[in-house]
Amino acid sequence: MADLLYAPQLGVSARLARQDTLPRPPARSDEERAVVRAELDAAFYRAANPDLGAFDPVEHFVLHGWREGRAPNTWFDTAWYLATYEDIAAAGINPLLHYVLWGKAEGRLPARPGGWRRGVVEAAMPAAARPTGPHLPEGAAPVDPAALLDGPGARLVLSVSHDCYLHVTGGIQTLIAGELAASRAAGEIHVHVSPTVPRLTLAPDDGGPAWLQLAVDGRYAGLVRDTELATALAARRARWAERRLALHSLFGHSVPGLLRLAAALEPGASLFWLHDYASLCEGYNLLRDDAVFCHAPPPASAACGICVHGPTRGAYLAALGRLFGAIGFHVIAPSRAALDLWLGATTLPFLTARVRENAAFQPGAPRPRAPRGEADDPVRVAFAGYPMVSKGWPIFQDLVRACRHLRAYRFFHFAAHPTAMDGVTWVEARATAAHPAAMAEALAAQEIDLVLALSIWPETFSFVAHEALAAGAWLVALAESGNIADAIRRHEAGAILSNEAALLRFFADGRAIDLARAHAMRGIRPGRLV
Amino acid sequence: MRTACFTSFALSYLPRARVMALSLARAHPDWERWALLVDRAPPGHEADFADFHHVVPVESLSIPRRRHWLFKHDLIEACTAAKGRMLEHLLELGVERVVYLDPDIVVFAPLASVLAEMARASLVLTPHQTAPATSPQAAIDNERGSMTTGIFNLGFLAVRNDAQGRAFAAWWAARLHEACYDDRPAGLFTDQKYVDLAPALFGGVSILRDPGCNVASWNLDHRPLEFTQEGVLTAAGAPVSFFHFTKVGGAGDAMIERYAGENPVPFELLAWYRRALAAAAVPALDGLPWAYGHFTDFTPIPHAARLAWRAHPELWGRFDDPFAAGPGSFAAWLMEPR
Repeated sequence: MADLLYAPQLGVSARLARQDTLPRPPARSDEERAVVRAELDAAFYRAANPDLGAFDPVEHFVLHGWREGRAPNTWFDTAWYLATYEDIAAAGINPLLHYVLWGKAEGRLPARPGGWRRGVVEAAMPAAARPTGPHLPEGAAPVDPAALLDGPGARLVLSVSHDCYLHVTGGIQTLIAGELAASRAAGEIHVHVSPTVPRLTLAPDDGGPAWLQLAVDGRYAGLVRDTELATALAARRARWAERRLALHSLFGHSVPGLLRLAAALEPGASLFWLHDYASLCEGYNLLRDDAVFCHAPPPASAACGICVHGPTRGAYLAALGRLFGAIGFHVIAPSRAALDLWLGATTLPFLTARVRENAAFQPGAPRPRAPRGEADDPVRVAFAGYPMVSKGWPIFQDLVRACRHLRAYRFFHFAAHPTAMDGVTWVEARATAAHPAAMAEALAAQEIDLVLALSIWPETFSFVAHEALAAGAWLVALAESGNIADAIRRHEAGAILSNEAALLRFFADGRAIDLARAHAMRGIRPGRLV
Repeated sequence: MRTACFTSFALSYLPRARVMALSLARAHPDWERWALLVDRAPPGHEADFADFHHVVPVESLSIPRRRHWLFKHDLIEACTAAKGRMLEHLLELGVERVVYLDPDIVVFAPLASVLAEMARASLVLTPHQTAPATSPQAAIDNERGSMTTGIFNLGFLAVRNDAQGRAFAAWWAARLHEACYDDRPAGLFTDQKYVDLAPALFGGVSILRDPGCNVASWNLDHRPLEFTQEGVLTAAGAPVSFFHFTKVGGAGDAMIERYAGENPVPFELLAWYRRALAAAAVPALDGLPWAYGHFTDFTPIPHAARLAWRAHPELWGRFDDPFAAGPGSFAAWLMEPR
């Protein structure tokens, strides 16, 4: 046994460290490499340090990385450790080695406390200041709306959302594509407008016309002034016996601009979709400081008083009050969970409110699957979709970190872009308009047992959760995940945990294996979304 | 009932005082808001104090040999020492209830439990801790801290204008006039340590143990913070009336960090407070030296000079203004070889 790992010496070293006499920096020994090898996350390290080239990550960290403040994994913050524990920095010792051998026992921390939510809180910013996606497609040019509205069709729907559904992949965009298909089948002209300047809140009302992106019957047309579009709509509205307004998202639009279009169209019915909670707060997924589900409390509450979305909420809701007061909306929620939450929190006037699910899961016939959970056949656990905070990606990371050494599980990430984390197998998958079943097919192909749908806010629908069901997987979710938890109850397909700590325990103590076995015993029931 | 709330601060704490005043105005719009300015504001900055109904410069308070007395104190000592005289002043004006709040306090909800106590008590105090420490580390950080610097946090004080309230005010103001110093070996800690005696010396003292009052890093270990679904901030389940952002931006950050653990709420409060301070900043006044921190030639006053001034009453007759510089001044006397 080498000196460095000899237990009595460690005890002495730990005591001495308290007296500012540190253990002698070890030579770059095999032992140092062994400790680093055990703790360094090679995939993470390579992704975070693209300058590594062909350098072995362990060698790099031992020789250079820690001195340069590079983090070896997601849980050890080299720079913070050295800055916080000046005695370690002064001793010139590899801080990861120090933490593992002595620091942990001395009560030192591997990174600043506060958990992942602290970083989210500190990075939170008001909706108006948040960066948004790309602006316009290349070559987008002004068009004359009049010519585009002269096509055949005795009915027209004016569909409004925050981006052009033809160019962006996502839940709302998929739904608008479905709306277009229904319009076509019904011989209805489908006119879609989205802002030219993307925003995560209303556009400021500067009194002037706004430029919009226009798509007609599923074809991108170009750019129009909302005033010109309003004039063209008003001049032709008598041609259309039925006129509808479908408001999918307010973001990027101004209330006066929307009122102009509505006044020109004089719709027989106006639908307001609750794809998210933007009609309750600019923080559209109701995450206080982007970190904690807030339950949409009154705007004058202390919670709104300290939240980044609080200062503007009163004026924002007043603007929405003008919109909802002028246009009688029929509110459509994609789930009962979303509608109940909204009805409990809104003060906006509306005509009717009902549920219309974006898709329904129809399970197929049960198929047998051998129970898993042994080292040679681990339970296959997946996170599906973008690794976003609101979708619970940091919780998944914590779970993998805690359980990656348990051979009863194998963790996957199904996403368009590779995952930079050891212990996770990345599978390329992304549902698109052209291939909407891509995610479900990928999950099914890998025979995923459990999909972690860890959203930290009450999802209004969650395509991912439904894709998981369609793939024959069961779901594991948190209590306050809205329609995800409801879907688990409705289909008796998975487990709901009260919070993150309960989730970690659920996997650590093997109940997740029991769940996967119960799933297998009952028979896998992949199905389809209709 | 006429109620006045005052705070005491130097210009460096003006943004904090403004945030406090705004939060108080929301919770108790009918209370008078008084600022005791232990500093000198340059002319033309009246608007920066508009969140207060009244601004009382320390030099307008009736304090015997005021400049001699001020010279004995560093910034924190002076801001706390003047609180006693200010309390007396407001009681003399006939204010029925006087509440003191530190400038780094934020009011999150009406002080309902304080008002309820004041209906029957003459003096309301909030202890630093209201439950045993939850860990040995917390006992060292918090309980031992209180045993050194005072059981009650004097960031808050409420006094009713009755015989017992006035008797307390007279006693406290006298002690603060005599020795309001951070001299822990002598058993002194500014205005705070004296008040350990108050429950013994006076009747009508209420020790308010409401966990929603004076929540701070020193009691976070037993007062976990949460927001309810209705958006009410709670500590140990009780609605938070006021939170004390003590030493935020300095040592307080580490203590909040230590006792927040994985709970995001303390970090949310800190992030909000930093934004609020930035919004309340007065750049033109930022970085001005404290008016009583230097001699008239702007040489900083060393702490040793204050200690010498305190310790040698015979000097007080020799120097009319200890802040003066130049020949014949106390500053010059200090530099003389002995």
